[in-house]
Amino acid sequence: MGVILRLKKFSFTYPEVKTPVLQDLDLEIEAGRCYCLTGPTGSGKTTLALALKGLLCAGKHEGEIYMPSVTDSTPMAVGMVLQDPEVQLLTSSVGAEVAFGLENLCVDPADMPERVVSALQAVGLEKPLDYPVDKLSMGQKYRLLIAALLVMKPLLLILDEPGAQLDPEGLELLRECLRRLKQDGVSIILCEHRPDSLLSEIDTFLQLDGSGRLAEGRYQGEKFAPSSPPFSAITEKETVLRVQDLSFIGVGDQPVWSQVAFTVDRGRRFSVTGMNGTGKTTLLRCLAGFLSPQQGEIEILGGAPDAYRLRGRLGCLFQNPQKQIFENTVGEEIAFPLKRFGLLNGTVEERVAEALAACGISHLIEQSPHKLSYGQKHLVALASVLAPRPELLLLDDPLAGLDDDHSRAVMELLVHYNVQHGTTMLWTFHDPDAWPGWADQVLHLEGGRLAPR
Amino acid sequence: MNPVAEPAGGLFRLSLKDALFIGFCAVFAVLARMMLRLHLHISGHAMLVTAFFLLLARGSVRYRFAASFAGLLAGSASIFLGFAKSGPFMLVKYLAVALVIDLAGLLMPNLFRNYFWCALVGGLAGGTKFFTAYSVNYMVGMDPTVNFQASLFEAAGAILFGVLGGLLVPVVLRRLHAYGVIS
Repeated sequence: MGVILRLKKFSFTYPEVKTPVLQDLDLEIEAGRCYCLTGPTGSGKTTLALALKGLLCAGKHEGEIYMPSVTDSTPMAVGMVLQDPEVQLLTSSVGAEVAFGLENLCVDPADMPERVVSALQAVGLEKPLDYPVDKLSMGQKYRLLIAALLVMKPLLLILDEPGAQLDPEGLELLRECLRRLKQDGVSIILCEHRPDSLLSEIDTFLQLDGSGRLAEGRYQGEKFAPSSPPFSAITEKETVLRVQDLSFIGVGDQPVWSQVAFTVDRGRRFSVTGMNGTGKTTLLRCLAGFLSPQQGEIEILGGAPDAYRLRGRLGCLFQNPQKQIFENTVGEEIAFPLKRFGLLNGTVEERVAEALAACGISHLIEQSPHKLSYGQKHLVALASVLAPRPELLLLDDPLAGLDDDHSRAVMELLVHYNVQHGTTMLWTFHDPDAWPGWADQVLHLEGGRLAPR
Repeated sequence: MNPVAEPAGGLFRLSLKDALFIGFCAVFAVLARMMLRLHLHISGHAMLVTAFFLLLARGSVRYRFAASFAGLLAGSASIFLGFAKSGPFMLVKYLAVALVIDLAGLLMPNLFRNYFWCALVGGLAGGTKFFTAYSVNYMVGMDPTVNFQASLFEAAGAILFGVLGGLLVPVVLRRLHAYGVIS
């Protein structure tokens, strides 16, 4: 197989940063092979992927990148799905999003529907072509973007953290898809922390060691001795969340879920699992009062979900950290809610330092949170919701974009807050088998119903 | 395979991103004046948006003549839209403010993140109102003594609003920088 893309002594340094994030990289990508790029959170995997796609602009480049030539049969050289699918979506409906690339390649409109439907089937996204994009879950958006690239038949496909967004079913479909692409001579690069479900298709592992160097092999991180999480801090039997007969109607009057009922006692840890698009995020949004369910009743911390009443008592971590980060520096971001609650400056500084240290990001205090990696943004958002020490925490996929070390550290941190401060927690995962034993109770969303596992 | 060349840089070459930024600032400078046509009877209040957007244009890009370009665009747009009461003289009004800002940027490239220096440059830019007002009044035949006093009065207001416009710039630049919109 021939080499389609080559890096020669490639280095890259972000503006206003002294040390290069990528240093003297030599890499050859061969046609029809699948590469998995591993490395700790913030080691530069996404930066390298952006460089290969030709999207790195600001910053200092050194070395050379030789890109594949574009021909009539292969009109697109490199296709890339970013880690945060929401920044890459362009149109408002599923069909238009997939067809957008074909329109730019001047494909005959008569040929488009068949290619669009075929690409959507390949990623298992069975939605009408006029289905609104903003109603899709994060996992479904990721699948949609893969379809939007597959339809253009790229020579090299780069997927940034598919495991962070796709459920086991989605990853199985992706594995099948990768196998077919490899047979067609397409090269694939996966930037992935947990590539286990795609192992059979991966030919070469590459690892960034955190100092900008690239080597062959898989990054394993530190080995942890398996341990059982401590039991949650149940001091008294007090219900903090009661949900009764809750139903939510989505697009086209289709129920997302119905007759959802459960209660959560103070100091307990609850996990809600379910595949992409089953309505986990919708459920959390209803509990926080961001969405109004069509039917049913929610009693949260002694009353209806009202933003003003829950101020300082309820913490929410969104699945996409970019949606809740807005300050100029990481330190200001974490201090923001504390200042709004009127805490003294000394207490604010103490809490900020504590939250930063707990999340392992003290070194980022002066940096802009908007320029961090997806995983680091998640840690910043987590620190900002932990710092006010809320009574109840709703965490939407708190481990998205984190490597194994950071995932473990975050889970331990959540358990620590639960035990130390008695914080009640409700977190979601799209993998039902993720972190067994860490929650007191697991609720599973499937077929529009919520049931204990 | 094709080697990917680094994007061309250089002080005298305007990149697409910088050009877009300058264009946005010029458009917003005109739009803000059009939308905020408040008859406040306060001399020089238009200098608030003019100084703010022209300082923003220069502070957000590295290009040396960014404010002048933005002023040229905004002045031309004002003339063609028939906006403001000075007619073709609008171009001179914008350019005079822009030249002060570009000159200050040339002498002190890092002034745009500092409240004091931004306020000072905003005030100096506002001070150009004296010369433009004096020229317009002179051309319509106003008595020199009256003209001097009237222009001084207008310039005082423009300096005040220029200072206020300048004070708004660092916070906006800091936010744009934090989001990675500008480098």
